[in-house]
Parts: sequence; C-alpha cells; structure tokens
Amino acid sequence: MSLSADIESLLFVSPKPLSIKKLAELIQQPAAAVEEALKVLQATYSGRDGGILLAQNGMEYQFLTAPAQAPLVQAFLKDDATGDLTRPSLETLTIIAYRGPVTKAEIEQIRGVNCSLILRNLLIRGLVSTEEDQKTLLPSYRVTMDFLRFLGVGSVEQLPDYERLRADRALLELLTPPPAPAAEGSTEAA
Amino acid sequence: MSLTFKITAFEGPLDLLLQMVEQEQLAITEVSLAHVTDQYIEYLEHTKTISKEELADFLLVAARLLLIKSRILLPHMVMPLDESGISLEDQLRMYQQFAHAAQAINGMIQQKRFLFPREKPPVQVGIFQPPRSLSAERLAQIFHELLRAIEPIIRFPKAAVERAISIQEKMHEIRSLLIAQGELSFHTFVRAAHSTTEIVVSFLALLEMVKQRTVRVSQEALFHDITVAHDTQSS
Repeated sequence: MSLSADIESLLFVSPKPLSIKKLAELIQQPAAAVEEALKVLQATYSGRDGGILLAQNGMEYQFLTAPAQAPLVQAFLKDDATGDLTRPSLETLTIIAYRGPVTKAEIEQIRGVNCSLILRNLLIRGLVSTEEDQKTLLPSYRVTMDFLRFLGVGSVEQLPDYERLRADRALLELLTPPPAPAAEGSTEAA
Repeated sequence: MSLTFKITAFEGPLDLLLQMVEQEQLAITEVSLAHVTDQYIEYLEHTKTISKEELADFLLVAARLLLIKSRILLPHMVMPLDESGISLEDQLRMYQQFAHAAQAINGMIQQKRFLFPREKPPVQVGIFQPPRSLSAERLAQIFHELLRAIEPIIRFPKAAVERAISIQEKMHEIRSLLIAQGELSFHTFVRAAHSTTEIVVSFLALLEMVKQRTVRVSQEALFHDITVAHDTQSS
C-alpha cells in the first residue's frame, strides 16, 4: 500500500513522465512490483472518474488532466494547441500510434511512399520519438506522451480498433518478410 | 484528354489508387484493381504534381496493376515473374484501414479533448532553494560553534576597548587643563585617580601626547613630580 503511495507522490510532483525503471530506482523496489502497483493506481484513477488520469506510454507514466476538463485547463494555461495536422503527418502518426515501436521501412511499406521528411517534422514537433531497437539496431518510432495528450487518451491501447489494426493479417505478412524481389521485374514491365 | 474522375489531393500511390477504387464504389479486389489500371496510368501521364523522388513509388504500383490486369485478361498464361510477398490487393486493403484510422484519429484530435501535464515551473529568482544538508540540529550546532568562537573576542578586548576610551578621555582631560592652566603637575593630576589602572592609563595618555608632540614634559630628578606643559613648538 505504501509503495503505491510512494509512486503516486513521485508522479504527482514530476513535470515529466517517469519510467518504471526510474521509479524503481527512486523507491528502491523491484521493477515488477512497481509495475504492479502502477496498474492498480491506474485502475483507481480511471475508476474514480475525476479530473486526473494516470496516462501510460510504453514504460512511462504521467498524471494528466482528464479530457472533459480540456477547455477549462486550456483556458487557464493559455495553451494554444490547435489540433491541426497535415494529412501525411496524420497518416504517418496513425501508423506509428497503432504499430509503434515501428521502423521507417515498415511505415513506408504501409504508406507506399517515402516518409523521411514527415518523420523529421513529427520529431521536431515532439509528436513522435525514436528509440534504437536492441535486436536490429535500427531506430524505431513511437508516439510521445505529448501525442497522447493531444489525442485525449491515456494510452495507445485506447485508440479505436487498436487490437484489430495492430494485428492485421496483411500487415503482419507485409512486415515479416523482406521486400518482394518480384517488384524489380514488374518495374521493367511498366 | 479529359479525365473522367476527380482526384483530390493525394498522398502517395496507394492513396491515389484507393481514391480511384472508392470513387467507383468498388470493393478492393483484383477485378476492381484491373478496372482502374488504365485510369491510374492515364493519371500518371497527365499529372505534373508528382515529384521525381516519389515517381518510382507510383511506377511500381502501376507495374503491379498491369501485372494484375494481364493476369485477368490472360488467365491461362503462365507468368514467369510471379509476385511474391503480399498482393497489391492486400496492401491496399491494409492501407485503407490505416487511412480510415487516420481519419478517426483526426476526429479525436479535432475534439480538442487535450490532456495536460503538470506545468514545468519556470526558473524564478528568489524561490525557496534550501541547501540539502540544512536541518534544525545543524543550525543549532553551527550557532554554538559561532558563540564559542566569538567568546574570547567578547571577553578579552573589553578591557582593551575600555582602556582605549580611557586614554582618549585622559588625553582630553590633560589638554583641557593645559588650556586652562598652561602647566600641569602630573602628580596632582593622578592624585584624583580611583584605581591603579586609572593612574597607568593617565601615564599612557601622557606618553601618547608626548609622542604626538602636543606636550612637553620635564622632571627635576628620578621619581619627582612631572611637569606637563603645552608644546609650543608643535602648534
């Protein structure tokens, strides 16, 4: 019980998302116990239907104000977020949100077009971040906590049709094998 | 050559293809892809908006469309270059799902139900930033140390300060008497003293005045009375 109180206090004062690892370090408790307590805390906050929710992005957690209070809080903070995104940004973001962490090659496979510039813009705007895949050593992209804030959800799992879109059969097939070599042959035909 | 379909702004070859299929209100099948193949190629020929960097992606899709169409037109022909990996049909269907998801996401964003984290406090001058080791015990300890350190200063120099003032006073007295009388017997002067210290201080005052050359002193013999007179040479 006091572990959950410890976590709650730390998350309350932190202006940045805190990772499970960081929390475990601070409280000096095993990461598994911290994660367990976080889940309980998250359920408590979503259950009480109050003005605060415990958002989760990957291994990071942060207290955020609830979506219903957005206009009020926005007015108080004089926040000028408009919610406008260009179509390609939106599409790329959607893929990263549903499939993250995802590599640039995988995003381009799905969209069928080069995404370098869009990814750069999304990185600059703080909507996505990169992390290096430990196995492939390729950078992979995931959405940021700021993107979740923007969207009004406490985690990507809350996106509509999350499970279905994430595990789409064609998608899995597309992303598993290397790019089809037959493509070269058909380019000549064009 | 006018185009029979309307395409709004599109993002990439799959988007263009999807718009064409949806415009015809067709489900995504090999047949419907074959159906829009000519439109697609015609569009590529006449549009100038596709950048050179993207053109290869568009041509790749065109090639795959032609392959599908030829397979439908010539069902018995054996294709030496058969496609491996996922079909264009499957890929387009998947792209369609994400395109629709993107619209849903945009809808969510447009609701502006933003969530807000704790604001990072701006760095301010004068905010409370106590040192890490600060505690009431530590403060008390420091104060005790401080008291112990100043104790000798408080006690000792008290005499020194007193004496300094006394010498000044005595010098003033002697000067006043000299102005009034012109000459002064030191013996008479110290007779009024209350303590040995006062006599010593009076003597020190006299010595100081001699040093400053404000007075002259004369003595007939050892331990005789000292006569103090104004030093006329100096002033």
